[in-house]
Amino acid sequence: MNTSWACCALALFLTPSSPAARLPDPAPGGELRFCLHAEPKNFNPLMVSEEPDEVVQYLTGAVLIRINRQTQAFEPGLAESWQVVEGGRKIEFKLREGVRFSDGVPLAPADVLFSLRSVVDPAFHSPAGEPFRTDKGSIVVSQPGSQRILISLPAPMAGVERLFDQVPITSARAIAKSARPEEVPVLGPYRIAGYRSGSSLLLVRNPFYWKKDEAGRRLPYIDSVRLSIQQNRDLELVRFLRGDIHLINGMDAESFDRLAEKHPDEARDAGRSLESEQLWFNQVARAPIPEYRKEWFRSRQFRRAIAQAISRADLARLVYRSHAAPAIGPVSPANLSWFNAKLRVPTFDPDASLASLKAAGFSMAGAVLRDRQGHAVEFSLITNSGNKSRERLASMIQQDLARIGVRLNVVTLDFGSLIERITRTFDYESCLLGMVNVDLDPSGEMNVWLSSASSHPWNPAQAAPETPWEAEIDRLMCAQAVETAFSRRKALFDRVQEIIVEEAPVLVLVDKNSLSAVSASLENVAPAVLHPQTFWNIDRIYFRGGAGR
Amino acid sequence: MRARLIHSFTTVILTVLLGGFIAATLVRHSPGFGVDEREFDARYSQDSIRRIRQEAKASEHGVLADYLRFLSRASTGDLGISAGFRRPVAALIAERFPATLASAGAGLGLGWVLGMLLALAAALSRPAIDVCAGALAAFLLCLPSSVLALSMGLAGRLDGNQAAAAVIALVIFPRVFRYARAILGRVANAPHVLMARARGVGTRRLVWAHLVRPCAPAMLALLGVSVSVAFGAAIPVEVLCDSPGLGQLAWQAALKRDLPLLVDITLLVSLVAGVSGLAAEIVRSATAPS
Amino acid sequence: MKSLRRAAMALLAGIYLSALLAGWLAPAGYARQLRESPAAKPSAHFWLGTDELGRDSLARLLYGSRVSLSLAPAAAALATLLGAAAGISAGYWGGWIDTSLARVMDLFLSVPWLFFLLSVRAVLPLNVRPLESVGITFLLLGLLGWAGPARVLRSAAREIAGEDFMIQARARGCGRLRLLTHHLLPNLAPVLAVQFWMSIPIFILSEANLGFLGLGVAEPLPSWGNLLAGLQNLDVVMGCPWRLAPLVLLLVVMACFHLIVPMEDFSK
Repeated sequence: MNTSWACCALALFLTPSSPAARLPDPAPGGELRFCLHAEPKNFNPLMVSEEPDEVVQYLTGAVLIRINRQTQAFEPGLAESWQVVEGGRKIEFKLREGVRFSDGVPLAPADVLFSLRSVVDPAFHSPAGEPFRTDKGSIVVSQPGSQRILISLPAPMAGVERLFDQVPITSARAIAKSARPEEVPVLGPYRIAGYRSGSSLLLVRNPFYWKKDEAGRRLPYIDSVRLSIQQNRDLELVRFLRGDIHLINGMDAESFDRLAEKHPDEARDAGRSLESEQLWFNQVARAPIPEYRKEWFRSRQFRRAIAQAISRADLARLVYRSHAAPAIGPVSPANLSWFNAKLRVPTFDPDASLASLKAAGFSMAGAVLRDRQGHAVEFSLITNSGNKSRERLASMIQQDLARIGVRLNVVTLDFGSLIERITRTFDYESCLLGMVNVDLDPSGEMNVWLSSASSHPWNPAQAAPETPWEAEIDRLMCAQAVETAFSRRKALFDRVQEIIVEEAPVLVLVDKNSLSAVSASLENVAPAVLHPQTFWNIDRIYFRGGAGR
Repeated sequence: MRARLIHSFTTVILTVLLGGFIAATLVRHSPGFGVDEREFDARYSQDSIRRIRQEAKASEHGVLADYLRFLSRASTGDLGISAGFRRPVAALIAERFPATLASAGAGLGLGWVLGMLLALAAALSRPAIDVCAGALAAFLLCLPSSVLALSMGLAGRLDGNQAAAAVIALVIFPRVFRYARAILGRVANAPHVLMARARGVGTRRLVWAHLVRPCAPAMLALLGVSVSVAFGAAIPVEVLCDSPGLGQLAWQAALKRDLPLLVDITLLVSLVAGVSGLAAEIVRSATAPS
Repeated sequence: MKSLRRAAMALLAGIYLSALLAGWLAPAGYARQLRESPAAKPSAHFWLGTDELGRDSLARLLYGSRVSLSLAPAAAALATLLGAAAGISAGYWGGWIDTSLARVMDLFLSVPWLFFLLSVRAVLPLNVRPLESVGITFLLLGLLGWAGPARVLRSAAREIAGEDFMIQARARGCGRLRLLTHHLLPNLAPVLAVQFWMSIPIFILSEANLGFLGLGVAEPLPSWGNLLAGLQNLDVVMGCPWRLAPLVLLLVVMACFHLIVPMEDFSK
């Protein structure tokens, strides 16, 4: 079945309940204000890779196909319609007529061709272009007719439409001006009108934005968006409470509860997100750690025993104040299409954990667990410093493991040092980090699950799979990447999830909730679990009364 | 005198250049240098990560060679491109310096005015002011600037720059007060001043002619040093108050191991410290009894 | 004033004793997580309540006092002594010694030694004990923190060296060494003391700030630094004023030092 039709059907089924479909009488006007948590580095849409840049791109850019962040269905963007043919080997777009850049120049098919060819250019290191560059070659783009674009892929690719949600459509003119952001012509609802380094970014409405609402009014409703650069999250909350800003994306649980105490209607918990906290053991053969520790980490029984000794429920309750849930597997239930519902939450059972370890040759000597050779079971856990939640998680895991005689040394490192250890020197024993599934489709996680991939956490860039179960995961992931039938893909990826849970190379501890703050003066904000959670429908958000506070 | 001045200035410049080189060496050899966060981004393939690493390595040479190349470019006004922000360092510093200048300047001014006024009042035999101001100064000296910064920022009434200025004022005030109180106290108890008071000289004339003017050279010397204290305090304070000045820039550069930016900021900070110290020296030498 | 000084000494002794007797005063220990009582208010069971993980806040404060009250003063003493050696030499001898040392002080104050600390941490094994790791950090802070006190002592030494009594002593034939040991150093003692006690909170807070870069005290060991870092949420603190206990204790200890140690002002 053609997946674009399946997704449209899903969208139709789900959208009657979407707030975007129920529009009383929005009053236009006002300035929306919220914060970026770091300085934007790049206004060249082809080089965007970090969160602040992605926010700016989302607000100013446009794409061929947009994923509705609430329903997770595909919606037409600059492409009026599309068709996947030849079993996923080609995709043809029909471009929307009458679209103009913010400087009034019409969008030409040549601009789309330019964008697609540039995004796969290795010189830009664009993450949006990564999935299109494979060892079999890159995409070929052509214009078979007026307003039609044809993309030929080097190999059939399942779920290819989702990739275009991240591909920015721009022009050579815009790229040439990217060093002067106020002059860049854009296709999105807003354009950059002012930028003060370290301070703020002002976006004003794009007068030529192509979208209109059901009553024929040109979108967006809000006149301008001011993004303040604010790194301190506590100060961000203070500003929200003062009325200086209207939205906060991605709040921590403590701040959320403080807000909920004062303004319960403004604190929004959208439920489980795609963000989780994960712990894994270093299984790299050449890692400069003692061989006996490598033996532990390679032992499936050891890993599963450790998993069983950690109370995920306590982690979710105490560290995230119940705004998280014990993780079930590597995919969050928030991923509606791909989560394996047959999996169950790993049990917390220190006694069973100890029994497993004893069966694997470990023994308790007093209060200390020792291996067959008599080494005390002690290892380090690295995580990034300055993240209170993660430090508390590490502390709780430390206490849980102490109950089974394991001594865990928590070491916090600054992010650069940590990345160096887990990607280059492999001088670490175990690591605790957060992971975000930015791509719902499992093909977007090839760089994580394939044993040869560089982001394969516990043992990256293997020349050949070092274990049978990793070889099986490789086979399953490659098979689902070219399978076009959804049910068959699902079955293949379900099995990948089962293997991860069985072998426990990575312990997924908790799935965090998507927490945000939304001012009571705003209408039509529907926080979702996908980024950007609160302003994914920026063009349809408006102020009650039109002017905002 | 001129020869001594030239000699002193030359040693300051050499110190600054040496400081820059040491900073470059420390950053270059610190863990995490040259590591791009994209290396842990699951969206990138192995090939792309390899290319990113190769590009980073291609721009690295020896520390000394890189530093000399940087100095030769800096002499023409090109301070390099920030690796973390991907923008010219000169532009970044030009954008951020005014915020630091404003907050450090306002903080210095406020701290000095408060310190001098209270010190004068205390010196003119106002025991209540002496005790209260002394206790306040002692309290503020105990209180670390980061706690002050957090309180100011989170009090919610002040924005980042205002909070930074207020904290710097509270850092400067106790030092100025205690020093001025000591100097003015000594002068106020001098025989000629006591005589002037006994003869009914007005307070304004007493303060200006007999207290402030004799103490001016010593206070000017303190001013030079307090400039470098204020700029030094600005760094952690700006980070905590989220004020977009040089301090925040320096902290971000440190986290990203942004070598060009860190070297430039180190040179700037050393220059400010060196020049203010030199100015204090000159004033002290000029006013010292021969 | 004398009675005030005596009271301060008694209070400080009491605080040190409490830190030493932490195991008896707070038997729950600093690491034990009582997960059914997170963020509890003060009660008969928990005099200062518990933290977010259910750990006894009083125990953490007392054990943290051990770390901070021993290591921070040790680092401050090291920095002050090294600073004294450099500053007094520069101020007393003058000439090229003064010029060179002044430039070295300027250099030390401007170089970002943070990266040196990061490099040392990278070299240390990951499984080093938390107390050893923080001890090494404080040692390095002490070794690197001499320049600030040195500047102050240089200025003070120069001032005293120019005083009348010093000139008279020299005129009477007093040797340079005798001048240094019998006249200069005793007069600099108050300045040294001021530098010492002013450095202590700086080192305590440095440890907290370094925690942001992974150079602070590792879990579960508490210190005043990481307890003070928890005060970032002023809103939370205002709602739970007992959480200000580490800050109050810091101020009390600093005030005690302030009262005990004789003061002279050389803020230059």
